[in-house]
Amino acid sequence: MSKHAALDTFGKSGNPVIRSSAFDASASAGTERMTLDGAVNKTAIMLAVLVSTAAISWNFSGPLIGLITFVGIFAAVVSSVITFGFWIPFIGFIINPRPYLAPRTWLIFAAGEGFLIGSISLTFETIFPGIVLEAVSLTFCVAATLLFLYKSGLVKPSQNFVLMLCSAIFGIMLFYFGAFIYTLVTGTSPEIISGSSNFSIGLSLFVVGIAALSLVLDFDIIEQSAERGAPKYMEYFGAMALVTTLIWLYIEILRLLAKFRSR
Amino acid sequence: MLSGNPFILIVGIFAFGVFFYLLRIRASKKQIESFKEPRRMNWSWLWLRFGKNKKESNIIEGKAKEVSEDEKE
Repeated sequence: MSKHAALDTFGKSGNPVIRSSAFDASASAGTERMTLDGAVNKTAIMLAVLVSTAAISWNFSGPLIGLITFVGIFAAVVSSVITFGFWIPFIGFIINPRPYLAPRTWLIFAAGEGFLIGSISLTFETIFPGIVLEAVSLTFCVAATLLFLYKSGLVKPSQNFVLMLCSAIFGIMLFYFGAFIYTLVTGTSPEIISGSSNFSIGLSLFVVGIAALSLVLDFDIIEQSAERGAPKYMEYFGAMALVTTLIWLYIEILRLLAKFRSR
Repeated sequence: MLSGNPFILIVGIFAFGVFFYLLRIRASKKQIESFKEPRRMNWSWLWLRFGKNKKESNIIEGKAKEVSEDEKE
């Protein structure tokens, strides 16, 4: 007679230790689980906070608003580094990510990024009227297209895809840092960054492409976290990741449109 | 800001609506099933390795000894 007659009969054990779900990558029992709706709501709230502070820096000027904007941007950078960590190819995390801090840092992050977006948008809108509306529309068109491709299963991020994308993002960061140092030393921005040559536009198109592909990773983090029953704080983490990429994509599209207009 | 083409505004509002609609719905079965593929990116390390309530093993690496049923008897 089989020693596992009960298992043979019922197919699975009722014992919580033996049950296979005990070994799933889900949150431990007793903690609240993440939901897809929760992540979507947090994304919407973060975007609302971001737009509100962007409207403040857009509509008001003066030294006080300038100071608030500077402090806000600094606080947003610090809160995003604390939450997301800092990763370098072939080395790994220099600063470990702390996703459980996202419920505390999201508000500082969203408000600070709003000030950044507001001041950048105002600068571009003053030079090229109507460009902000075009950039916002294009950002959501690109995001909706990639989200469709992801949800339908046409795009599935593999480990190699993520590694290549993260390396490309790190390369772009290094390039921007180099350009920043060049600007500080020479007092002029390099032609490839601020110019409107074919090569400069090509580079901008490449960066827009990388930023757009990064959205797939954010969609995947949100979808997998909800599907695998991650802890509640992953709702905030996923929303923060998505908003960060949307902001990056928006700024890159804004720069690309400005290059096209200044030709 | 709204000094641009009204057509672009309508396209933007439509894209915004589509984006949030798609974000709210569950991914296709094809995508969900791909989570189990071996070469597919698995994000569970985010909350398992760096999460607040990460489960820590009570077995010290290399010092635990496996006890079989025969040894017990």
